[in-house]
Amino acid sequence: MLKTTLCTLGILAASSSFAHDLMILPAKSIITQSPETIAVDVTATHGVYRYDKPVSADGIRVFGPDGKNIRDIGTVVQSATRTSFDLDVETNGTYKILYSSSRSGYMTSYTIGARDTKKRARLSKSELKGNIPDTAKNVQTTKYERHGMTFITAKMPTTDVMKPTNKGFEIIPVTHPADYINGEEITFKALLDGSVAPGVEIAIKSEAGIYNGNQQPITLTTDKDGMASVTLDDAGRYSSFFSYEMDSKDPEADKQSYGVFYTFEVVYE
Amino acid sequence: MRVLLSSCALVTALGWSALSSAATLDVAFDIPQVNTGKNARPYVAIWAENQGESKPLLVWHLQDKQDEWLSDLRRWWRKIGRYDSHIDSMTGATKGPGHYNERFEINDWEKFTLYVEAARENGGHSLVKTKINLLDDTHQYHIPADTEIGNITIKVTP
Repeated sequence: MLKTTLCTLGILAASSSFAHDLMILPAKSIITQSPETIAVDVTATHGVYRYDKPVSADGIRVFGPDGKNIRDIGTVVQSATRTSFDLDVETNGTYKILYSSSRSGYMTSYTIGARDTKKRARLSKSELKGNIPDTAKNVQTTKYERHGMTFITAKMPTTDVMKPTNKGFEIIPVTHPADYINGEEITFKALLDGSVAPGVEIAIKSEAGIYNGNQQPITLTTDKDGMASVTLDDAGRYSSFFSYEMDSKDPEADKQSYGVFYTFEVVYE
Repeated sequence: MRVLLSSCALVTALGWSALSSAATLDVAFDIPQVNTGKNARPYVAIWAENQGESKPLLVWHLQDKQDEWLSDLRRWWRKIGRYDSHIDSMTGATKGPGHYNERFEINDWEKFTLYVEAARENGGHSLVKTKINLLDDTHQYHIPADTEIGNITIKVTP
């Protein structure tokens, strides 16, 4: 793997995850048979299936159908708008591609002045003193943890890559990603440290929305069992964001915000 | 190619006094002539589904490396192809426009849905189906033509 040596790029990647949607975009998510090579782009973007900023190559992890991390994913190229690699799909089954920033981020928001101007600073609670004005009001620090994921299936779908790790915030596809069909129900499950997460907010955007004039996301919320289901009428590529906010257990923040960006394809039938 | 049996006698003569465990399906269909510059022969699959289970009956596809396009038979791929379940069904090379008659045996099932799917390179995709009930008096079923598959007539002989 081509490791980035410029620390500025790492900072860029971290900053991207706050304001942008993180998208892992494989050229294809259903493959008839291995071996095949699939182009994969990872980008932090304001659009849907558009490229804006690259991410740190170090944050990309690939898991094979046996559930194990594939350490060597070949050359990773970080260009101006995206980070790219060619994934060698060597065995049949379902692969998972994950992107997570190497560090979680703190963001403090506050207001200042007579007009209550909103400001933000990348600071944890202990870093605030001396770094924001003493007159700041409505100070709130949020700890962010974000990751992106997508799945690629060669021939027969497998589920080893979907087993929960029971650590942190996880979205488990209940309907297998190789079985996302237009007009059929798709179900997700949200977990926080292995426990079901009710009240997770989900926003699903379609790539087609760029062209058909409807960019309004489909929104839904997980139920008491952490489950949510949606039926998408049109085949195509989608980007979904699962977000969950709670009081922070970390003394460096007031709120803890979790987010998962999940890109997937719905095939026609 | 098989010759379709004359249907009249079959339809009228048979009563349902006893349930047979096997039925014969004679499926007659057309692969339509599509007027385009480049006209690839379609991939075609026929199968039956019943309560989540699938019985592969037929698949016509390009052989060897070109079977990478098998997943374009979307539903067939999801129900049968990706599990290699079609090794027990009839398989063959792709065929050009024309009229075809194929005969299948269906064992054990009294009610099922018969699916026909066709996909053509740089062309369209058709997925059609009909419910078949061996317990009622209907012995002939018809599926109207779609873009990539012509009229289909299914004769059921218990």
